[in-house]
Amino acid sequence: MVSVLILAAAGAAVAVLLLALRLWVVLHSRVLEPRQSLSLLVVAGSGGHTTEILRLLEHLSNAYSPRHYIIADTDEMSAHKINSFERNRADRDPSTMFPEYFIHRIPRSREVQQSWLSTVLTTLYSMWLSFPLTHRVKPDLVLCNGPGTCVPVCISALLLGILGIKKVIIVYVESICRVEHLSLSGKILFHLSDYFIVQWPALKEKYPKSVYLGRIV
Amino acid sequence: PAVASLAHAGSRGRHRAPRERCRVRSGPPRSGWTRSARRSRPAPAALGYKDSLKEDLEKADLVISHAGAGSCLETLENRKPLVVVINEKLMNNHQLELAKQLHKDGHLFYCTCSTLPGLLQSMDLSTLKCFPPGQPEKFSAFLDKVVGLQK
Repeated sequence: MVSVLILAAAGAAVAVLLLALRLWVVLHSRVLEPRQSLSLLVVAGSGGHTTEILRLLEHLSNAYSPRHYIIADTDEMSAHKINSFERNRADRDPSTMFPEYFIHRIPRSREVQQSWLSTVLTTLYSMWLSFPLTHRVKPDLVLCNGPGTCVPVCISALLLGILGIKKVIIVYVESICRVEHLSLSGKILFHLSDYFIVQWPALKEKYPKSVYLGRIV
Repeated sequence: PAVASLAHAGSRGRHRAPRERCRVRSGPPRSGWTRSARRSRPAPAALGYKDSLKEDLEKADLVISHAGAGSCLETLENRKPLVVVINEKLMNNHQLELAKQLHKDGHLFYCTCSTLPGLLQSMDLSTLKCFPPGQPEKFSAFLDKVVGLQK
């Protein structure tokens, strides 16, 4: 009985070690392959997050297609903004007959003022639903800017790489609201994203490995 | 976003248009201005979600808003004087960081619900500076480079 337990513990330790090693490999692999287009998965949070991320998308070329948007299931305003954005984009570009975009919904990881303990549970539940969605979409690039919803999605994208299914580039743009301190999502994804972009010099000083391009929204 | 126009002359459905435009001036109100303001008191209107606040922003002389990034950016890009009211319930109060920085850079005034009346009396809008536009094209150029998109 004791030997079985020891064996199980050893097996678990080896599995964790392999997982950590695999994670390190995925995070440090930045193979740049030239391409003509790539599929984009955008995580849109409520209110200002969606506004900011749509501003970032405005100047992206049509090579970023198809565009998949993930929003919280209670966030009707973001769905409306995204539809308007895609309609305006199609109007501006006559060559785009039918804008290729999709909106997906997952449960919100955290509501405003939700307790931290329950946030862990709701985030795990979001993860449970995010992974099948991310696996189905298999984007080339995930773009997000801080809503809690983005953490399970980015972890799911990372898992695709760890499991050898697909290397997904994760780009995180910290919200312009964050002048001197990162958001909680930012603190988590600073270590897990391929490119972490900040918009204020104070953050660049605190996090030298981040990318600073000035104010981009 | 909660955006209000304090001085807006124009009809809104059933409300009658005020005869005189009520302007927000710098410094404490003079008695003449106060009488004028009472005659042409703007009719308040509550709106649900609107696709665009551009029209309302264009007509406003002053905007009072929450300190959300979208609201701040849109108002300042329309070159309107802005007062932001901080939502003290948000996690780590991240809106306060942005409000403080933009105030430090001279682009807006900020307050809480309780200090708003005092600020409206004492603020000098002529001290506000223009807000330079952001550069999202730098982001798209950076992204094109790192994902390997060919030009």
